[in-house]
Amino acid sequence: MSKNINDDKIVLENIDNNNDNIGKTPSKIMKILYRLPSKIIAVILFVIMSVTAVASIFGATFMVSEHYYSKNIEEVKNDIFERNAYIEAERGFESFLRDDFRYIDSITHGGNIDIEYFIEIDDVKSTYVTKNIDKTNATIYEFDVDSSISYEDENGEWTSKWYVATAKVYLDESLANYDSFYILNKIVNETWGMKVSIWIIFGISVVSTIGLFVLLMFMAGRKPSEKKKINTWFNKIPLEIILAAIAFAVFMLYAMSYESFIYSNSAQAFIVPVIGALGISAIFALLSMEIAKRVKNGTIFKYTLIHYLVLGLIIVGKFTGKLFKTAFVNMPLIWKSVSVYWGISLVYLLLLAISSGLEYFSYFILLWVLPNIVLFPLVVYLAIVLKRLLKGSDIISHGNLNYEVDTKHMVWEFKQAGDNLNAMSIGMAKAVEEGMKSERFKTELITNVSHDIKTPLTSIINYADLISKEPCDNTKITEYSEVLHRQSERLKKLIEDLVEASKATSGTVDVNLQPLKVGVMITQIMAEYESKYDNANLKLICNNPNENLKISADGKLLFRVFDNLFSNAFKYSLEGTRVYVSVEEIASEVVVTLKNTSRYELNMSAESLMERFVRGDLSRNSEGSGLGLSIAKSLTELQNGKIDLTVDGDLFKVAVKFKKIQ
Amino acid sequence: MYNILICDDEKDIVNALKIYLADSNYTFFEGSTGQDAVDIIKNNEIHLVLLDIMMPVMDGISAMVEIRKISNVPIILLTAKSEDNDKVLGLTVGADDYITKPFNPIEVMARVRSQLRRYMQLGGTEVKSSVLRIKGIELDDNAKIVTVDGDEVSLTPIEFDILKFLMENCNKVYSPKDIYRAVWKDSPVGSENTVAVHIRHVREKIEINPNEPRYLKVVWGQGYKIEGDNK
Repeated sequence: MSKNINDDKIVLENIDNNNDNIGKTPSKIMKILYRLPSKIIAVILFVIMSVTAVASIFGATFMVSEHYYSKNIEEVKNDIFERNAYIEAERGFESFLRDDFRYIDSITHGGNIDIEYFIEIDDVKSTYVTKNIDKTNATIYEFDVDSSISYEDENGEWTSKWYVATAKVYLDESLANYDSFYILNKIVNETWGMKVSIWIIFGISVVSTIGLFVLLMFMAGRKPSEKKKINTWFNKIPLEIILAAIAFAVFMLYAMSYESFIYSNSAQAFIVPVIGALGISAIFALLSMEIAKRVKNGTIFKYTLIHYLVLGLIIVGKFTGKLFKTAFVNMPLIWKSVSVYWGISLVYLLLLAISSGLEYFSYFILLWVLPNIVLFPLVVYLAIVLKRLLKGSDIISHGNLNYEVDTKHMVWEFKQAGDNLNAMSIGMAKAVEEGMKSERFKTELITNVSHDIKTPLTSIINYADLISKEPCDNTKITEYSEVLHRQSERLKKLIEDLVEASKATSGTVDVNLQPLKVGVMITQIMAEYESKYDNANLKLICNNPNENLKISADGKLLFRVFDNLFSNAFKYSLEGTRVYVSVEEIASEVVVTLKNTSRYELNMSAESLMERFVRGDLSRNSEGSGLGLSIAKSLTELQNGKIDLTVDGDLFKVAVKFKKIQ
Repeated sequence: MYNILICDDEKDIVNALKIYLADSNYTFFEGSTGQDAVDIIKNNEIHLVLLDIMMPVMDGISAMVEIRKISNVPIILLTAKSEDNDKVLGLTVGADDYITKPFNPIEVMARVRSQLRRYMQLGGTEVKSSVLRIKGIELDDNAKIVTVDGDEVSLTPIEFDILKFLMENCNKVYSPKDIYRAVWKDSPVGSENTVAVHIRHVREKIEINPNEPRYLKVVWGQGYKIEGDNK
């Protein structure tokens, strides 16, 4: 039972699933993984781990660069203190030169150091001592420091001057006061103990960061219940916008952290950078997930500004291209050539102007004007001639063979082409006439032959009839005479159909088109056939034909069409079945449909049924000439109508279509 | 005793016709060319001519033209030419009827009888006021009797009314609806088929060959009419 439910779900989900690379239902563990809480936990873990990893990287780098592993702690401290002392001394000197003692005061008062400067200014040696300190209990560092100051001299110009001094920094070993030395001392003391463990932390955090990242990528964009990937509004925001927003956020966090790190000497200095790092890491994690989701959904490029831009450009490009194309194609030939001519000519003029330069342009312009005087009329002439040839070939190709191309003002090959066209149309007219003549001749021949056949046939029919009427004891003779009679009647029908078919296909029938009510026509024909159908145990059923549907047709010919169709249905319907007739208006056409159930298997296509001399069953020998449908088709076409045959199993459907008139 | 001229270049057809028409009342004359026909008519009293068109020496049409110069004897053309043009030509030049080969013997017999009756018996009958007559059909409204070439035809009252309506308005085409309105004196609702079936029945009764009616003609897609010169 539960399996069924599952299956149903699959079916439902499959409906919008356009990408089946995740085609299986998630397993139980996967389902738990895909839940939102799991994702949140994973993200948090990732953030912590990644920050730890970065911190441990920094720490390890610090330790290595400070020679933790080759020196003892005192030496390391000494190196660090010395460097720090140099930095402080130089900074202090800078402020000293500017007569601004605030910085020196800030680092010396309440700090662990004192600084002495020995400076030579204008060849006068002087000494600056920040304060009296107990130099006996202090480590002394000595550096050369230099700095410059800029000032405005009497002339109002700015000059800068370099000063060099020797600085002596006295560091109080006790490090009792809170300053950068105090912090550095503390850092070294704290981290010394982690000399080894940092590498373990580093290893674990890096590995778990990578592992969590992979897991996050895996979970991204999946839900426990559905395989389908849903694109929310957020997923559709162009990627560039998200990236820009994130870059801004990252920058803000970084800037805040940096600021607080630089300008704060307290332990809080670390809190903001850590929060910043956590934030950046979280943003990184979420952004990666979003990108992963888009990659999985195949929408990574779809929802980008570039994509939208390209799409827009393509649409605009296509539209304008089409516009120009249609405008150009629909332009008359002469205007087309004129516009192309002047386009090229103007380019030529431009090139001429560039190459000649403005000074000699007035001479060079002759080079432009003269060819135009000759060439332009020539182009117009050619366009006119071409237009005439085109028009002629167009008209002739549409069947008007009496059209003659005017070659009066044409020259050379153009005249020849025009003459050829004229000769062609004459030749074609001749061929068409020949064809019609031969077709008419054929019909005439068939008609005449049929007359000649009819005379002996009359005798055959009559005498066969007379034989059958003679009283006779020999049953065989009666039987044979009946065959004779039947077959001669069939021959008669064949000949009549043959003549009619030949006339209909050769078009030698007078067609007298008149407005005609199809409904009335069908009513009349049905009345003609009703008793015949009744006798054959067939039922003729017609929905009330709309009497007002009018078509343009020749009543007599149309009667022959329907006569053929109704007698076909009569001859070939299965006994006891119904023959349906309907008159309908379909899309401004009047359609008369006849449907009957065939008595025989219709073992051929609708097309071959329509061909001459084909009856329902190829192997059958029955009444009918096989010309009925062919005659009906030809006669319908003579009246600008159409006949469609459909064979569907034993259902035989014939539809006669005419254009409706008012 | 009627003298019938059968003129056909096919001897077998002439003989067959003679067999079919064999009647103590008929005497047969035979010819095999148009010239024969003209000669026989000049020299004998002939009451009906069965004439082929395609014959040697002189064809049927030319012979008919000659015959019409000297006689108004009924002429039935009997020919293999079945095209409309030929029929129109034959009937215009002077034929009274037109039968195409191969023919149905019964139809030939009926048509011969019909022509003879009209020519011999009904030629000068006075027309009563209550009687409508178009060619061979006579409709007596008082007696409610219809005769075709003298033979009484039994029609149902509805059929009689339809025929009367069409004969009163001959040469005009009426749609099944018009006929229903005029005869049933009711508005037609889906009763077109009834009218059409009745007309078919009338035709079966008054026409020799209902598929090629002489009187009650079908105008396909429009309606029905009785064709004739209302005399």
